[in-house]
Amino acid sequence: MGGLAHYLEHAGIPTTSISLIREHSERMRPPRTLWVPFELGRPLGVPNDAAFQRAVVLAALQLLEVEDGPVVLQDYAVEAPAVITSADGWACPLNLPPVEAAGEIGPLTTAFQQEMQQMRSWYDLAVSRRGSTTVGASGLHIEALADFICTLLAGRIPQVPTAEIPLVRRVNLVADDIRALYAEALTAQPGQDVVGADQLADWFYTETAAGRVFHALRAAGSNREDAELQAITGSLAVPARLASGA
Amino acid sequence: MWLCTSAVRSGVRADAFSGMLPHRWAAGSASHQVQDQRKISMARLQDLPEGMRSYLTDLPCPVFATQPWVRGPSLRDRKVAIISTAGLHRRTDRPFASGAGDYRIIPGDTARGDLVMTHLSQNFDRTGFQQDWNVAFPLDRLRELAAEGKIGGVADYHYSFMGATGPEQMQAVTGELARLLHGDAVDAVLLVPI
Repeated sequence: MGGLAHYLEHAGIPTTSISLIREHSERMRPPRTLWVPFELGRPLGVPNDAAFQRAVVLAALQLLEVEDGPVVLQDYAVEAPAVITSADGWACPLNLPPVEAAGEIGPLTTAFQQEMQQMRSWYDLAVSRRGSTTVGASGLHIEALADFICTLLAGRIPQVPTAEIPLVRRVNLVADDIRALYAEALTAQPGQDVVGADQLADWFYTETAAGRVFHALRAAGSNREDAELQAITGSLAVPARLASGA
Repeated sequence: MWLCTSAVRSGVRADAFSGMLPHRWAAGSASHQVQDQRKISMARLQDLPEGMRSYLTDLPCPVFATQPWVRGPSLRDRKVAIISTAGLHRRTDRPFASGAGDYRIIPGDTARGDLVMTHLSQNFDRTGFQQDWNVAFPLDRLRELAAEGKIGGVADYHYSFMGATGPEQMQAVTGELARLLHGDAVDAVLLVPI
């Protein structure tokens, strides 16, 4: 971000940047920077809090009126409200279909499909309330997401609408759509809109059938004789601290 | 000059909170913690997991020989555009490739349901953006500030780059981007990371 600010300013465009990593701004020294003490992924601090966001935006924009250039780095002193973390003893309010830690692929994919249906009710409610969704970047319809992953787990290459996106990239976009669907469904439930990213990842990768399917897919990839399948399934991104599976 | 200041909004330096325990270690029920508005969040390097901290600490950052500084009119007369590095784009647009240095155009009339993120890193929170696009792309906030007369206006076009891309990868297109911004009469860019 600091580099981009420098290049644009060099091209005659006044810039002001929000920074999440103060050390990077100190090193790159862009013209105007507001460092904010917020979680990575939340540069404006808090979702659904217009007043909080507005204050951050205004603080960043007001740096454009500071005369003491060419480098201004200001700290934003207001913390964002806390989110629920693993240490808080949080538990998902839904009763998800039970899944064995290891076992046959058939029951696992069946549990995954059932779970997707269960999530769908809350997801649809979330979309209705918010008027938007972040699911869909993969280009696949929601109904096709689980089938895509289950086909891969069965050792076959899924059919895709277009070949414009490399399959390795598509697999991760599909996986991200599924994670987003679960997250949007969960955070739509009463009192769950403050679940933190780490807690959500813990829940997804250790308690849901979807998470188990992702682990199974990665594990199966290393056993494939087909090099393409091996590359595709091996590329599936899982947080390093959770990569060993449930 | 090198100016490093502390935000004056509350009159308290951010590091004044450094004596507090990170919220994940603090005692109390979840509901109590959620209501607490002054918990330490995880954007400070020392609060991040070791792997992530090392990665960010060691990340190469360019050092520039010059320090351009462009002045402009009063904030209330400026037209503001957002440039994000969250890998945002319209739902119908091409997903970003990892490490790509190109950008996507986000028209100012883009509906919130039409914006998706294809920066797929596992290293940052996505739930905030999933609930409210303004947490990463504060277009509604800019519109409000324009309606209140705090800024002169909102650009007709905004832009997004892919995250985790080296600045030098983006340099090739910044000249054309500047021309596009000039064409849109933009005289202030708000750069928003993820």
